[in-house]
Amino acid sequence: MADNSQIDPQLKALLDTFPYPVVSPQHKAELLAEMTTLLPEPKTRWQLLLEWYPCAVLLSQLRVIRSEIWAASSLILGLGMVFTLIDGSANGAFFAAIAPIVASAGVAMLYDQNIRLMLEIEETTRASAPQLLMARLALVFGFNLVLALIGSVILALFSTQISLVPLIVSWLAPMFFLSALAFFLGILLVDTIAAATFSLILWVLNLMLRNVETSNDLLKLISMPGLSDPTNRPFLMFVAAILVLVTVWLIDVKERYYGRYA
Amino acid sequence: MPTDEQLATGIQQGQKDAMTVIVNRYYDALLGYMLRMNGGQRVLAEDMVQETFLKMMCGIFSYDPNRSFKTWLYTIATNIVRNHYKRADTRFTSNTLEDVERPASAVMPETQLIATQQHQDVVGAILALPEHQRSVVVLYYYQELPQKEIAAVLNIPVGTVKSRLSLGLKKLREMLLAQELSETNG
Repeated sequence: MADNSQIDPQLKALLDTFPYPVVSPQHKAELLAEMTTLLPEPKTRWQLLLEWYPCAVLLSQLRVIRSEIWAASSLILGLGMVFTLIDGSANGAFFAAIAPIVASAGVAMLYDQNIRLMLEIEETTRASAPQLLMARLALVFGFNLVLALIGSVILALFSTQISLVPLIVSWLAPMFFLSALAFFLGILLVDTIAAATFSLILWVLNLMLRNVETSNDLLKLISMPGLSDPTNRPFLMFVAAILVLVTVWLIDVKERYYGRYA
Repeated sequence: MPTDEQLATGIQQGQKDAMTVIVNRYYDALLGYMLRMNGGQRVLAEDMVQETFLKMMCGIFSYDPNRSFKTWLYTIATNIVRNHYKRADTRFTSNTLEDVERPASAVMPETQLIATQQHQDVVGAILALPEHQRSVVVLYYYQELPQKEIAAVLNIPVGTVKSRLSLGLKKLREMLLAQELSETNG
C-alpha cells in the first residue's frame, strides 16, 4: 500500500475531490458476458497433468532423445530374456549380466554431440540444462528399469529355477552404478562411445573375473571386484547417487561456459 | 480467499468463477484509474476498462503465475491509455471537460457549485500533467500502489518513479493552488 501521509494536506484535500466513480452494473454484466466468449475451454484432468511442469519437461525431452535408444534397449533385453529362458540353467545370470549394461549404454547417449540442441531448448524454455538432463536421465533409465523389471517378472513366471526378488537384486545395484558412471563420463568426456565402452569393459571384466583367478593386479582393480558383491549393494547405490549429483553440477558449470562463449 | 495468481491460473484452465471474481475485484479500481488518466471521461474510461479485460483474456496464456497479476493487469491498462494518447486523432485534442463525471452531491447549491468547480480544477490539473507523470501520480495516490509495483507496471527504475512522483505532485500543487488563489481573488 502506498504511503500518502507525506503529501501536503492542502493538496490531498483537493485531490480527494476527485471521487471514486459509481460503477454501472449493466456495463459490468455486459463485459462479463463478452469475456465469457473468450474463456478457454475447461481442461480435463489428463490435459492438466500433461501441462504440469515436470510432465511437460519430460514430454519435451521424449522428442529429443535419440529414438534408437528405445528400440535397441527393448531388443537387447528381449533377446537376453529369450536366451535366459532357453538356457534355463543359469538362474537368470545372463539376464542379470546384460540388464545393467543396456541401461548404462542408453544413459551414456544422453549428452552427445547434439549439445547445441539442448542449449536451444534451454534458451526457449524456463527449464535449465540440469533440469533437461535429469528429465532425459529419468526417461531413459526409467524405461530400462521398467523393461528389466518386466523381463524379470516374465523370467520368474516361466522358469522354475529363477526367483524374482534375488534376480532383481542381482542386477539393480550394478545397473544404478554403471548408469551413473556412464552418465558422469558422458558429461565429462562429451563422448558417448567412450562412456558406454568404459562401463561395458568394467562390467565384462567383472563378470569374467568372478569365476577366473588372475594374478594381474591392474585387471583386478579395473574390474572392481566389489561391483557384484551383495554386501556392497547399498554402497553402490550411494555412490551412484553421488555421481548423479556431481554430474548435474558439472552440466550446470559446462552449460554456463558454453552459454557464455557460444 | 484465492489469490489473484490462483484465479488467473483458474482462468487459464477455463474457470468462469475465477474470471468473475477477478472482474469484481478489479473493475472498480480500473475504472477509477482510467477515469483519472483520461480527464474524467466516463464513456471512454468504460471502453478502456473493457479493452483491458478483453486483452487480459486474449493474453491470459502469456501470464506467468509466478509474477504479480495486479502488476500485469495494470501494465495492460497503462499500455491502453498510452496507445490512446499516442494515436494521431487523440494526440492534439484536449478534453473539453463537457462529458466529465461530476461528483453527485445533496448539499446546498452554492456549496455544490464550489465543489464542482474544485473537482473540475483537479481533473484539469491531472490531465495537464505529462502522461509519464500522470500515470505515476494516479497509480500512487488514487490506486495506492507501492512505488516498487509502479516501477514494475511502468517498467522503469524505482528512482525514476520517485522523481516523477515528486515532480508531478509539485506541478499539481502549483496548478491547483494558483487556481484556488485566482478564484478567491476573482
